[in-house]
Amino acid sequence: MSFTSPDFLLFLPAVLLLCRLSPARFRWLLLLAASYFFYMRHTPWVGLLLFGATFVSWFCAGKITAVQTDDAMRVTNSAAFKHFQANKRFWLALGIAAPLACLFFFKYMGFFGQIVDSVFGLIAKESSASLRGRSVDLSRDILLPAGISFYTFQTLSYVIDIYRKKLTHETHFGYYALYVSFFPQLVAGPIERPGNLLPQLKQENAFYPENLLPGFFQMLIGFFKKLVVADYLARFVDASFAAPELVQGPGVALAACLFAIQIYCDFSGYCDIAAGVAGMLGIRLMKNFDRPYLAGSIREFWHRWHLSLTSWFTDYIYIPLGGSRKGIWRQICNVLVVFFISGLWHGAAWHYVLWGCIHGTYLTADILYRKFITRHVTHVASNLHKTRGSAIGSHKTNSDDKRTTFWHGGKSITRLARRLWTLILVCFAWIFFRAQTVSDALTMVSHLGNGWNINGITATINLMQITPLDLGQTVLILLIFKLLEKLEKNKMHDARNALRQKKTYLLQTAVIFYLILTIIVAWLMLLSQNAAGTFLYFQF
Amino acid sequence: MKHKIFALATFFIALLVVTGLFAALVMGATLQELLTPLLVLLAGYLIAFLCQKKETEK
Repeated sequence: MSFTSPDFLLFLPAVLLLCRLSPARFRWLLLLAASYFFYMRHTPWVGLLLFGATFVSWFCAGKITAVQTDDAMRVTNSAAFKHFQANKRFWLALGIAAPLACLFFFKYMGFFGQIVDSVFGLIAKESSASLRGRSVDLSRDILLPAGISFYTFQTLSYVIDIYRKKLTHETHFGYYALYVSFFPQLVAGPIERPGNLLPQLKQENAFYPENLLPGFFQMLIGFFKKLVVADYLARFVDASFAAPELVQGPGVALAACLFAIQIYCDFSGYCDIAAGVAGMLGIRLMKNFDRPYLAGSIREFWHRWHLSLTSWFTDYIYIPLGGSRKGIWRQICNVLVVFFISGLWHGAAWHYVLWGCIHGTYLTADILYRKFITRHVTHVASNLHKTRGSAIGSHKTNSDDKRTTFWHGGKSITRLARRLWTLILVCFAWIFFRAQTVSDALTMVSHLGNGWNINGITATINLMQITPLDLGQTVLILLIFKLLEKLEKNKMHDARNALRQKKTYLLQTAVIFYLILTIIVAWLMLLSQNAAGTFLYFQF
Repeated sequence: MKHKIFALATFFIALLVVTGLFAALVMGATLQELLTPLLVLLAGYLIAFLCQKKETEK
């Protein structure tokens, strides 16, 4: 089931009603059943996979805890200690390998099959004929279960945290199963940490009727982002990326910018709906986005975009690899590894890998810039200060300091320049993310310099089929999106506070009314055009 | 009193909008065309809400 499918309109009120009526101590059971129903609604067998991943990780975590307890008791005997350490590592390896093997089979089998196929094809074309056939079949026949990447990472973080003794093992399997399968965040995150979600799920009196309105309002914002902004812009983006040979420079630039908005609204819209639904149930999900396109550097962008995944990679891959502790070259190497894996996580295709590598390269440049250029300029400035004396030198040093701080300074004009530059870099990388293949992306990039004239702009308008009505509506939609962002930023969407104030009550009701009406009309429009797409991140 | 008049006006506008939308739909307007007045109204009410909220907070 998806948040945008019609059956969700019945499912959610039913769950809320049952939650209200059921005794608090059985609420976990109700939510677990609802989560499995939500997940298995259209493809029932995926529930078995989810249950398998949940059980194996919980079992391994339990074994690790048991071994750790034994460790503490028998620490005096060194031979026994080694044995138990090995035992602990075995259960950790099993707890990591089993979900990863599942993920590999369903997500990457076809991709790696094709790689093997092409390698064998280069070595001996004839002998690989059978293998080639098999790999193509595999990639075609295996259906990717929705959300497998997300819940696999959740199970991994649980097992690793237990191994690192950051967490105590949850002995109640039901609560743990609910943590892995909690339906608002099951299919596309945020990738919740057990330390945040598990204690909330265990609270018996978490359901309060006064949570309903703020949650509902957040859900509406999410639906607006998804159905009105993302799906509306999708048709222009799809038209451009479907014909990479025909699209000219302005078309590539416009498509990249529109896709940047589309993917943000699609994914953050999903997260808003998830947070809204969870909020109605009295559970606070972690923040996944913090207005990423206002970032002043790529490093900052990754502190604002898909926070749950970024922090996961930082905690479980980047820091264990050494992070920035083992010198600059090792740090660069670690960054590249993390972004290579991040690209691969997003999809089993080379263009995703390339997208990850582009971001890795951006960050490498950022690290080198911060390490060498800034230090060099500061060094030159301090030398000038020493040699020329304080009277003249102070003036020189100030100007050099200005050079040093120009790029990282706080002045609004430099901040704007940094934001714009970061946005250009991010949009450029999105071309590789959205294109069907690497060659399509390269074709589009090679067209970037062409057609910057009236003919090119006319060709772009024709290709994207932009009418004056579309143009006006797009401007209005983006204005409303910006206003909603402002609401979110100022925490004005806290409907409980607004409702207490008589003056804003009426306007807030009107906003909610027109928001619902707009969402319904946009949804019907997309349904009538068969264009109501699933969330982009469902495929990951 | 002022508040009541404003509430009544908002209610009648909403009623008018819904009736207008149905009428336009019956007369053959496309759903995309219906989206425009809704977007205009939504933007207007959002701006008004933000301004009012700002004033109230002051």
